[in-house]
Amino acid sequence: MFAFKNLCLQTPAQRRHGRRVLIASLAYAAALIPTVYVIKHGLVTGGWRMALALIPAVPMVAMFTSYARYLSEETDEYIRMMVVRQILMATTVAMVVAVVWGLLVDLGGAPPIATYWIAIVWVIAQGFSAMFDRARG
Amino acid sequence: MENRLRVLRAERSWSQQDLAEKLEVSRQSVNAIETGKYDPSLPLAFRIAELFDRPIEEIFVSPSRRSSKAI
Repeated sequence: MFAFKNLCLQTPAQRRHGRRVLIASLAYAAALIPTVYVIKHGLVTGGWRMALALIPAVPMVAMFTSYARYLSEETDEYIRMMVVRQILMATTVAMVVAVVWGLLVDLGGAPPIATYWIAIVWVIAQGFSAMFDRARG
Repeated sequence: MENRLRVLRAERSWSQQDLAEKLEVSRQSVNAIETGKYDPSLPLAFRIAELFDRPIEEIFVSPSRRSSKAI
C-alpha cells in the first residue's frame, strides 16, 4: 500500500491533493445517497428541492478547486508540468465531448444528458492521461 | 537538452533517488532531466550546478553550440 501510494502520488503536494480528493469523494457519496432518496420520494418540493439538489455539488466544487490549489502548491516543476499537460488533455477531451454531444442533441435527435457528465468525462480523461504518462515513464 | 548529469551522479555513486532528495525534487524529475525529456528551469539548473560545484555550461550542453559543432 505504501509503495503503491508513493508510486502514484510522488510529491507531498500530490499526497495532499489526493487526500482532499478522497475526502471530497466520500463527502459526495455521503451527500448524494440521502439527497436522491429525499428527492425521489418527494419529501421536499420547490425552493427546498433546489437547495437540496445543490448539496452534493459542494464536495465536487471542492474537488475541482483542489486541482487549482494543487498547482499552486506543487514545487516539483517537472511533475507540475506533467499535471498541467494532463489537465489540458482532459479539458480538450471534455470540451470535444460537450460540443459533439450538444450538436447531436440539438441537430441529431440524440437524448439529452445531464451536464455533470462533462465533469465525469474530464476526470476520467485526466486519469487516463496520468496513467499513460506513468506507463511512458 | 543534452547534459552530463548521469555521469556526474555516477562519479559520486548517487542513485537518482539520492540526487532527487538533494535537489528536493522527485526521482521522476531527475530521470526526465537525465534522459533529456525535460529541460530544467534556470533556478533548478543553478541548484544542480551548485550541488556539483560546476558552472552550468559544464553540465548542460547548449543546443546552439551543439548544432554549430555539428555543422
